[in-house]
Amino acid sequence: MVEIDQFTIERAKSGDKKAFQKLYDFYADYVWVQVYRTVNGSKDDAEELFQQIFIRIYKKLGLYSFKSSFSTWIYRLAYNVMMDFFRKRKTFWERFLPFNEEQLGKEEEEFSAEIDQVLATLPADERYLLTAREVEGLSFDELAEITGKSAGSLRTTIHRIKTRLREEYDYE
Amino acid sequence: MSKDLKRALMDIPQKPSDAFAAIESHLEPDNKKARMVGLVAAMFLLAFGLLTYIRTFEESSSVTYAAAEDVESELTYLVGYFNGDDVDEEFDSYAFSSDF
Repeated sequence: MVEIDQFTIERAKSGDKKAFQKLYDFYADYVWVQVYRTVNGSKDDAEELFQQIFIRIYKKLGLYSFKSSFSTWIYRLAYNVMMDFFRKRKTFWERFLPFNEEQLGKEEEEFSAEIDQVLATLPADERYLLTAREVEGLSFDELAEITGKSAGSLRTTIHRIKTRLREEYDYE
Repeated sequence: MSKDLKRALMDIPQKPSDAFAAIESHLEPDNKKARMVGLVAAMFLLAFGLLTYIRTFEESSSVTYAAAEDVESELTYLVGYFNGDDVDEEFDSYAFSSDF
């Protein structure tokens, strides 16, 4: 996992805007892939969540105590913001319409690429896991720290998803 | 030939170029709001402090009136003193003093 230097983190923690921008520049691309693939379908939602995540990072920076790696801290925060978003939206759908999980994230735009359609068959947390594991190469221990689930169950989940993608869609 | 999952997952649009400016604009109002709340709290404390001070000052400087019977007894004593009513008593007292 990639790490930014401790000096920049300290400066950002003390409210230095330039240090925060450096931190943003360093992590933005990683967070953007995670958000875009987890939301899967609505660029507007992805942009909104992306902003929310960095606003939350800025506000919570003072709480970071260097106990875990900074990347893990940022990814855990991003994961929580995304899962909150889906929980709220699920509640909305359940309240006003018969709930259909595949509907989440795609009510505003049609999927253009095949991978979007494939990801739409997965729940949001599995889309996140697949992206974090495949694109960023996070270890199961890191994923466990981020999601709060056991490394063993995550290994099983990823294995199941990849087997399905290989057998049904020929993705390796 | 199998499709490359990682490449497919990475094939996404660029993040919005003005994203940081948008994020920064969301951070500023909070700072302003916090400063405004601080200012209002400081003004409130100042006003409360001033009111308390003024009230305390008014209470400490208020005029206190003597009771009528105290005034009467004090005047009676003075009249007796000027008339020499207590001279005999004073002679009796001085008689026991070694200086006389």
